[in-house]
Amino acid sequence: MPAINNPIVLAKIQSFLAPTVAVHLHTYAEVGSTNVEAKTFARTSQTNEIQAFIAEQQSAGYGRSGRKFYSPEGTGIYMSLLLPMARIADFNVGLFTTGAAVSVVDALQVSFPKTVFQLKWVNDIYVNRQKCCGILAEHFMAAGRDYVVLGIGINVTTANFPADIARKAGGIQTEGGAVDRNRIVADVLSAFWRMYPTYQNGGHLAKYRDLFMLKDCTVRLTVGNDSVVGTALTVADDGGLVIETTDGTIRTFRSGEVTKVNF
Amino acid sequence: MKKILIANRSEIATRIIRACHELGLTAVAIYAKEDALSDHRFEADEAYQVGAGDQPVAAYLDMDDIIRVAKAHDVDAIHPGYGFLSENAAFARKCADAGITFIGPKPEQLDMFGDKVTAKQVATDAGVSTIPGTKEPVASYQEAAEFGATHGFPIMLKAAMGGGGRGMRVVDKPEDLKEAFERASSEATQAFGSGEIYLEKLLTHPKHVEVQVIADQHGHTMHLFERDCSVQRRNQKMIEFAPAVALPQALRTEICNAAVKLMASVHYVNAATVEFLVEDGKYYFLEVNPRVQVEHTVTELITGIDIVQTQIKIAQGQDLYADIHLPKQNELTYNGAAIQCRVTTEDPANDFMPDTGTIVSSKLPGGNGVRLDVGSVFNGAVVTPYFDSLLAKTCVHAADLPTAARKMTRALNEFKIQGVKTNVPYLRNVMAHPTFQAGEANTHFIGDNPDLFNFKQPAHDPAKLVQYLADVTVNGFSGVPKRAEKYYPETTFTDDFAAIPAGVETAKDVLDRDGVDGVKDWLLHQDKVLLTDTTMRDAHQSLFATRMRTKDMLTVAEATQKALPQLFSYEMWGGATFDVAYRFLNEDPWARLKQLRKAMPRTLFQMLFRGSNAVGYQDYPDNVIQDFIAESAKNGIDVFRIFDSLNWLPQMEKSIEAVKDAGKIAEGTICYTGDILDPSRQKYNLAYYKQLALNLQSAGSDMLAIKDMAGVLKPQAAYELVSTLKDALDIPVHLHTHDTTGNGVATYVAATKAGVDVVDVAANAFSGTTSQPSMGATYYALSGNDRQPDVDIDNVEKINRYWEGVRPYYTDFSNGVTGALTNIYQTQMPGGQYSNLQQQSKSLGLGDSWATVQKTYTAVNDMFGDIIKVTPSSKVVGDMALFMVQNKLTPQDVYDKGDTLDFPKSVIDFFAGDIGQPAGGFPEKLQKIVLKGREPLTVRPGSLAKPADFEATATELAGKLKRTPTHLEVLSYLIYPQVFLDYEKRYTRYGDVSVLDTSSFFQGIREGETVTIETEPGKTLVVKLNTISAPDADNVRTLSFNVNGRLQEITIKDVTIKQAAAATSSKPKADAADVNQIGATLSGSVVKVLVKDGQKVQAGESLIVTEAMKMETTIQAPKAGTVKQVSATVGETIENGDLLVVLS
Repeated sequence: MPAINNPIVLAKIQSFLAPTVAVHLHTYAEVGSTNVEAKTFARTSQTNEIQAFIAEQQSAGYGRSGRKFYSPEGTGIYMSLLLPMARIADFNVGLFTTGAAVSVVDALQVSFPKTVFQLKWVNDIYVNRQKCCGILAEHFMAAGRDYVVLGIGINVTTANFPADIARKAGGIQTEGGAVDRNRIVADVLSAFWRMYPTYQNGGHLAKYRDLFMLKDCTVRLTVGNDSVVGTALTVADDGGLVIETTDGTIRTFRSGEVTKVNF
Repeated sequence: MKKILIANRSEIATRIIRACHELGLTAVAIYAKEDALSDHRFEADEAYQVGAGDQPVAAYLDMDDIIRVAKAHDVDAIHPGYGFLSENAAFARKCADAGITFIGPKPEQLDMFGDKVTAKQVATDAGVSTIPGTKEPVASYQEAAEFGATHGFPIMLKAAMGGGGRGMRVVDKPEDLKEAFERASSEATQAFGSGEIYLEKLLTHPKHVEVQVIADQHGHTMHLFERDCSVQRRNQKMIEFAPAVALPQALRTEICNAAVKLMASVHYVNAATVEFLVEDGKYYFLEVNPRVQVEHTVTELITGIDIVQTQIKIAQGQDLYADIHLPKQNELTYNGAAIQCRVTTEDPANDFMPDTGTIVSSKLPGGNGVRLDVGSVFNGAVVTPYFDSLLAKTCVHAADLPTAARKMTRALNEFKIQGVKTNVPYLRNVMAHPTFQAGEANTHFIGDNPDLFNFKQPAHDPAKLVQYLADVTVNGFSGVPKRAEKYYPETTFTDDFAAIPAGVETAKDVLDRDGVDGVKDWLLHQDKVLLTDTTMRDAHQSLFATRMRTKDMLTVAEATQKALPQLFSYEMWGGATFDVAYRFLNEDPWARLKQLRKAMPRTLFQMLFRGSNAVGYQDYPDNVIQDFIAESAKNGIDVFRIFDSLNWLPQMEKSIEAVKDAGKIAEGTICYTGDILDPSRQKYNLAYYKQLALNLQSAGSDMLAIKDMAGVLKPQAAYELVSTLKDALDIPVHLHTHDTTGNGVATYVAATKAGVDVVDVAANAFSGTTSQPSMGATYYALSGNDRQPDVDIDNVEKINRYWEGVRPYYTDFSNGVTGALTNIYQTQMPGGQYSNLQQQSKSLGLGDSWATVQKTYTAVNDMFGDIIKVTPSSKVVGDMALFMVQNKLTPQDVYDKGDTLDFPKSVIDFFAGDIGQPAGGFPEKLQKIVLKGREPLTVRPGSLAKPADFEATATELAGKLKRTPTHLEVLSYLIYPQVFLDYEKRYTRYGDVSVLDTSSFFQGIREGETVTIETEPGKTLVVKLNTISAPDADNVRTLSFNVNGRLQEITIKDVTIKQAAAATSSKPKADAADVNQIGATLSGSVVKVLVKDGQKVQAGESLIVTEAMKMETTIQAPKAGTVKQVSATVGETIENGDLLVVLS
């Protein structure tokens, strides 16, 4: 019997946040998608301050390439950070998306200290070989300014996934115990706030590599219309995936998706 | 008999074809579809495919089809070779039925020897001993005990109903027999339903010795001596030799005669081999192979008799003596010894797994005493998995076995096969083994000698270097852009410097002769200031991210020593060079040290050493630090400049001791910060530095170094500081500064006037900005001064011209600093940190954030109590500055709100004492706020580290490398485990790439270009790239090379996908000035195309979505318009700036 989770309440999230975490919070009972909310907000308000959008459920949650992200009520966290950018050219996407993954793991570890989290490149978070968290960054312009939206979807206690993903997706906690999602949201925001100023140092890479579950596994990386098969060796200093292909060449990839893994 | 069909393939088919041709007979070959391009098909006079539709091996077993082919082409006889149908009685009968002569024994004889039981009976009947064993199951334990008593232990208990290795039990001693027997019986009953046990004597160290027998149709049977085939792996023969030299001649004769007796007893016809196991002077019949054997070659070599021709002649009905004219048995002699090695595609490093692939290049041995029986070995030959993995039989013949082994080693070394792996390295190791050379190896030899798997990688494998060039040419060098033209200096450097004049004494001469104290004394008595040249270390570390390669240093090493013998020392190691050599340059830093030491024997070598981190970035146990210093000293370092990023003495003491133990020069270092001229900055005043210097002297320093890493030591400050130190200390003073603030030379002039003993300079071409001040400029700045350094300025200029030529190799790694940065006097930011921090502050997106960050940096330094700022302490200050700017915190805010703040990890670790204790201690209030209850360290973190277990680490590393590592490798692994392992992996693939010139190393080779590589003195590799093909459907390119004149093709998968090669058209870029041209903003791939040609769009409408590192970028229309052309397709890989959409 899955745990009953406290509903998402803005005041509760705020209460867990240190005052210096200067993120403006917006909570919703239901939205199409928090990423879309964030983009709409950017266009209408043209804000230059960091915003967070958190929903109890999403009717049209999505991940990479518009794929559906199952976002039922009561069991998950669906949130997006809206980050105004001064110059997108100074943005380091590889370190950012990998840093986001490590931050979310740090946050989750607070509420789930005994759980073993692992990372699939680029930033999928896994528990027991099932994906429990997806992170998607989107970059667009509104009113002449660049924005990055960081969408985070966490299956906290979600179970009963649709048949087509039931094998691959999983919730972090499946039995007993109360879980405070507001606490988790606050931890994620705090962890992100800690990472953001110095993520370009790449200091998170050491932890990323520890959590990296593809090391020495045979993987298929699909890049556009091509795919590459080889052994995943490590993650490079810019977040790229280092693969040794079957003919022995070692290359780093900064685009594409790992579509198959042989452990 | 005119036409002979060879019912076989590969080398034995070729062998038989040759025999036919020498006899004037027509040779007909058969081949399976998979062998359509095999040599044997084209060597024969006629060749026909067999077994169409069959599996590859089955084709050669297709008896009916083979007979059909034979009949259709008027074949008179069939030679079956070995394997396949050679022992198939049914086939022999079919041949007879078809009126075709089967070149071999009668079918009944094939039946007879095909059945192990019958064969054994034949042997026994002929009076030949077999392996003692019970014919019937033993009825009781007593019987078993009697058997054991008669034949000796160990014995094997075999379950009657067992088989295939099951139900067998070895009993070593008589005492064990009772229990073993009872257990074996009951287990057999349970497992197989019957408890019956047979017994057999177990031979524990037998030799495998076999006898070549031939017999004609006229009742003549003779032997052609014996062969020793003991070197086997899992019952597969690997190496054979003749005769069995380790056995006494009498025994050998006895065995041979027994073989003849056996074969004669059944009136055998044609060739056969009788196999025995020999142990302790006794021999036991094993089996008969009624055909020609793979290793017949060695018998042919020692006797001069052609066995295959003899087989054919016997089949023709000829008499051994009357017709074939073989000598009578008692007149038959042999000459010398012969060895055969089966060269296969089995990879000994991978448990002898057979490799497959295409042979890219091949060179086969030859010469005096070498015989080759080759399958299909030629450029382009495809090695398939369908048939056995034999490539070539290499045979040698010499006067005796050891000489033959040496000749075989020579022949094996001449084997150059690329494209598939071979077992040649393993065969070489066996040849070198004294047991083998004495002929003593038994069938357990391979299992008993795991050392045979220790393969020494050849220092320079040309194949690997070419592979490296091909890889870099197609796929580039990580992080380095491809240049249209490779850079090479205009003039080649020639060393025409005269030898050091006699009577000139270098500092190293003094050290070698008088020891460390001698050098100190000598130095203190020098009138002039001396120079240390940092070009090979700090200069390029500062300017080019430490990327200089050993080759560029070695080229000028000998010349430099001759040109500038008056230099005090050469800084050429330590700092970041150790890490960068392995991680980025694929070079061994120890090799750099050894090679330079060899080239510059009379020069003092200096290294920068981080007190508790050696050449790494974390604390290591003391025993690792000590060992590192000992090994560095042993391999050539004379001067160890030891520093700590917080000037904390305890982190330097142990290293100073270790250097003194090694008998080398310990240079204790004070890191200079602040400004002793500024009365408001009194933390690091003159008194502080003086005391620190005295402490360093007491701790045993032989010299005192002043390390001005930020370049903030103003000239007047230098004067005062050096004067004070020269006055207070008994040891020489060595000054190191960076020219970041533009005052380097002025500082050196002042210091020289104050009496400094040595200053650090760099060759002009590598000097200035973040590097050291220029050597030439320093020299000239001291014109007119008594202490002007004693160097030959013309030589300085000459050597500098070399460095001028080297500098452009590394421009891709420039740090971008183009002029003096004087605000560093205020921020005290070390030059290396400046550009990094600037970049990071831009990402905060807060207007003029860089100015704010710099201000905050200074404020943070004050909050921290003003600490020394050099890696890693400088990073802590930088991280805190960014944190405060992003959170909009003032220093007061930090104190007020600090309890609720989550500080950056590096800051927490710093306050926890992880990098040591700062001068004056930590500011307590701030420390409490940051640590939030965590207990800080007050001791040296390294003292808490458990000593490293070198032996355990060596074992661990041996497991990973699959060979025994050297001590230096264990040490490198301790300091940089993952970096070292990654380096090893690349080394295994590419070999020693340090011999490449730097342009080729980073840029590969261009079409039409010839690169000459000197791999060792006098050994050159001439590599020309002819062409690079366009990528095929799998993105694989074929590169055509000439390597030392021989044509060679290498295929490389182009993983840069969409690489703009000269031959293919690249995607056009968007013209940034044209607002209608919309380009990609990041390299990656196209995920969505949302518009089509002709579509009207509004401003801001989404056009294309691209992806990189899982960020999807939506590219929007900058203005309203109509889509004129979409030039992006979903799934396409794109680069930053590629044109995606054109609007009108």
